[in-house]
Amino acid sequence: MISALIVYGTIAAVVSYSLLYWLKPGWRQSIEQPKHIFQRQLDGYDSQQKTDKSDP
Amino acid sequence: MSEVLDANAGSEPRPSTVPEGQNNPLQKAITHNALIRAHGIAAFTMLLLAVTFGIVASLQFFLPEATSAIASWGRLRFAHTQGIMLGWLGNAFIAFLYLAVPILSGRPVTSERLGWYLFGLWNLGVLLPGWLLVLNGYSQPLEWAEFPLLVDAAMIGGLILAAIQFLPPFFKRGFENLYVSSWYIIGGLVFSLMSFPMGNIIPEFIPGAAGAAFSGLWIHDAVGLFVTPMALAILYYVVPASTGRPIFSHFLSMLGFWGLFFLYPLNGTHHYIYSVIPMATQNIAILASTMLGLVVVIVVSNLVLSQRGAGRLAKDPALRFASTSVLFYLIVSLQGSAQANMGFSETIHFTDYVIGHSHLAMLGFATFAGIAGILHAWQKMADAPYHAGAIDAAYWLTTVGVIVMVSDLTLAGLAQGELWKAGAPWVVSLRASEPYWLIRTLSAIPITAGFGLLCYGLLKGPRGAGARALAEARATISQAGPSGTDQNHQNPVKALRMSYIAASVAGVTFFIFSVSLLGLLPQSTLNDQIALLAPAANLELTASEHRGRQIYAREGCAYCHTQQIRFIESDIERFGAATMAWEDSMETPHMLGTRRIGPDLSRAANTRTDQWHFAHLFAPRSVVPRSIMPSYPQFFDGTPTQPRQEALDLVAYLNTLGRSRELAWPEGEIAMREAAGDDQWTMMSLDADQLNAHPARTRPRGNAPSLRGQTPARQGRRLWAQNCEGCHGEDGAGDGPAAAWLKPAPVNLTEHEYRADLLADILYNGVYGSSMPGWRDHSPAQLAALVQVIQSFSRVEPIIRDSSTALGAEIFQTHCAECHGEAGDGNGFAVANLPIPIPPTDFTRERLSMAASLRVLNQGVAGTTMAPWGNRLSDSEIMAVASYLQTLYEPEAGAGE
Repeated sequence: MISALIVYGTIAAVVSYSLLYWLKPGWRQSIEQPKHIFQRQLDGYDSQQKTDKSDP
Repeated sequence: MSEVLDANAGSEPRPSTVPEGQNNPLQKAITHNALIRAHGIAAFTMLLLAVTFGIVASLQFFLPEATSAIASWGRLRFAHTQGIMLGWLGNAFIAFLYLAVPILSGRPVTSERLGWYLFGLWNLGVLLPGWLLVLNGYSQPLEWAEFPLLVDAAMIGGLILAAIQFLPPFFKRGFENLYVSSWYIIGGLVFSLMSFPMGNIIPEFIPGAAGAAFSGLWIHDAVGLFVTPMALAILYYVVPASTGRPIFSHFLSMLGFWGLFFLYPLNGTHHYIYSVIPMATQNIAILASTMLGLVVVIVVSNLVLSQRGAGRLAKDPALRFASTSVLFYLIVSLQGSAQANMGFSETIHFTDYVIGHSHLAMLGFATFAGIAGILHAWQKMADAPYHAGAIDAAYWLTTVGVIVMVSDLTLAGLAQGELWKAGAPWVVSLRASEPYWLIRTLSAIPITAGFGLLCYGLLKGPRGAGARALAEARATISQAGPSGTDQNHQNPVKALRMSYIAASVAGVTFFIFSVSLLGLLPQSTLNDQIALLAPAANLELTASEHRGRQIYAREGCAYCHTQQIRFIESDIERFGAATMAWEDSMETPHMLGTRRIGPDLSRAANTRTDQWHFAHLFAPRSVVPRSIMPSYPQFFDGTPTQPRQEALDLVAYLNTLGRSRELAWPEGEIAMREAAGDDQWTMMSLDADQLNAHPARTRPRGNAPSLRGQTPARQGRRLWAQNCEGCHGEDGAGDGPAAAWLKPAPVNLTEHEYRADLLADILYNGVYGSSMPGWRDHSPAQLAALVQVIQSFSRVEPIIRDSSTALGAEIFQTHCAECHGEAGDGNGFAVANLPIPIPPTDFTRERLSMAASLRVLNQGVAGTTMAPWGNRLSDSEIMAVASYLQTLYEPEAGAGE
């Protein structure tokens, strides 16, 4: 019974999560947003380091 | 709200509106370089030390005598695994966190000073005392949790400090738009703090299989909730940082994140498949293991797609290590799913296959991720030395080394599993493993050289070369094409924000769910089973036995000798009835074990004599010539005949293993059968042909296979050398290395002539009360070959018949027949009541030389009930008896006198 709960629960969670992703563009964009923010943070860190280095 | 430009979209700038303070580029680069450097150097120092412990332990497979109390195999293994997980990986992860957390959260870590406290506690409060204590014999016999409780307390302190250091920046930042690495870091820190005490402390207080259930949870949680989250945090960080492009899909990464955190903790019991832990629990673990494989495929696919444009072999070494780590992660995870399959587990569990699997996880996947994290952190430190050539060479050396090691151990495991299933003698599986073990040790050479080169590359190269190398590598990566699965961003929908909160609660719920399902539930079931099936009175350990148990634990005996006979045919046939829950219900902590280098010891009681154990502990090769068991001379005053208290205690403990079930027999078995109803697993244990089926255990005479018609195997002398020489000597003269330590002494076979049927009986059943074991794991053809070898040693002169035999017969009937029987067949009426129950000689099937007869009659046989008659019979009477004995011998049909 518990095994069935795990299997069906996991499948249900994955399917609903995936459906939201495909059917709700807003959701899709929101969930993908962090990777771009992170990329900016990385670049911001690099450029700031360069600035810090060039500061007298 | 502020609008910023996505700088990583290559030719297609993408506007993004995001909340203030969450994604703004840092106003000033926050660096914790001193802490990164300190943890990085500590990580590599501990890696080299931990690897050295492992190499020395692996060398002891070939040089088992090269040991000492401190450097005994078990203690080295403890130091090796704890050093890799906490010393190397722990420091590497923390070094990475000092780079990643400020960038991911946009805030510095809590406090630099706290960082130094954490550094000190982790290395000087956990690792250093942990190593010193386990090497000096203070440990707990729980896998991946060997440091003693005192060190566990310090470790919990370290995890709390780590949480205080690295979590607040995320809490201050808020959880919206949190990148997947942040989730793994938060998850790893929080769940490690929950699972470490659960796995390191609870099994210390819960006995037997129920304790093993918690142990199993930790074995997997250590990897799943500490190592894997941190390693994946690094991979998800390094890949985009190195390529300069966002990962392929954040959606998939989060799908993987929650999938892993839900399923990993449910895997633990797959370390105890076919054990007494309830099948319902095992099924959950098997199912979760299979599903975990699917989730890992999603994670890996995402990471592989995220490296698009970097080429097959990334130029940046950090990315290259990360990329290889991803590959190892895929393989090790699919391996894990396969290993949980019951049919496959039956073959490979307890073998080197599992050791290969754990090396691939810790030395392949996690170590490569850790190296990627440190390399990347080094590249970001403007003044850090960086020697590209050394690091490049290190990559190839470590990669080749790990592949060779894991492939080799995998093949070794398959070979061992097949030999065990085929019922081959244990020593055969050892001999078959030797070439693999040699390659395993040799594979450590490139790995260690690689680690050494990495240290060199991070300490001796030109300063700032890392940043230049990364920039050059990034310039070669194609930035063309879509950068992922989305194009436009907008503020996260409210439901998504709520979903993160819900998911955080769910994460903690998953953990509690797993502990309940895989820990508390089986404990309850096992307790019910114990209450139902255990005998009314179960013998407690005496003080000596208890001390022996502590020695067994601290020397890591359970790491080579399991204490669980699984519910599978090959185990039951080789060792006896499967272990039931009540049998180890007083073993705290449990020592079920997950590896068999030596045979299972669940039923060690009454399998060997104390003298044999003493000789075996003092000099294992004296009684088992091809054994790889470490020797423990420190337990003796120079000779096995003078055991110290430690040896007495240890052997006393060995003699308790399986004792309860033997004492309960047969009434206990009948009662269990009635109580168990139709429980198929209990019935399987009760229906075993032999309660103790150990092939060496002596049995009453009879039931030996007939060797007539057997074609003796050609390898008779080799079998002799492998199994018999230690006691009986090379030429059967009873002068092997162990001969002087055993009473009765091993027989001088040159002085004896045996009939083949008696030899078959002795070889098959052993000699009860002596150190002569049974050899039932050998085929009839092998036994026939040994019979031939033994008979070839005989130098007994032809039978001499003289006039004194009548007198000899009279004396024999008066003094000897009560033990040896009127016909001299060893079946006298007193046999059943002998104080030392070694069967008297059967003179109808065994003939001694005159010289041996006279010596025995005059002096008796030490260690048996054969008394000296020299002071009670005259020389002529003794001569007459010796002559008479010759006439009792009844050669087999066809054999000449």
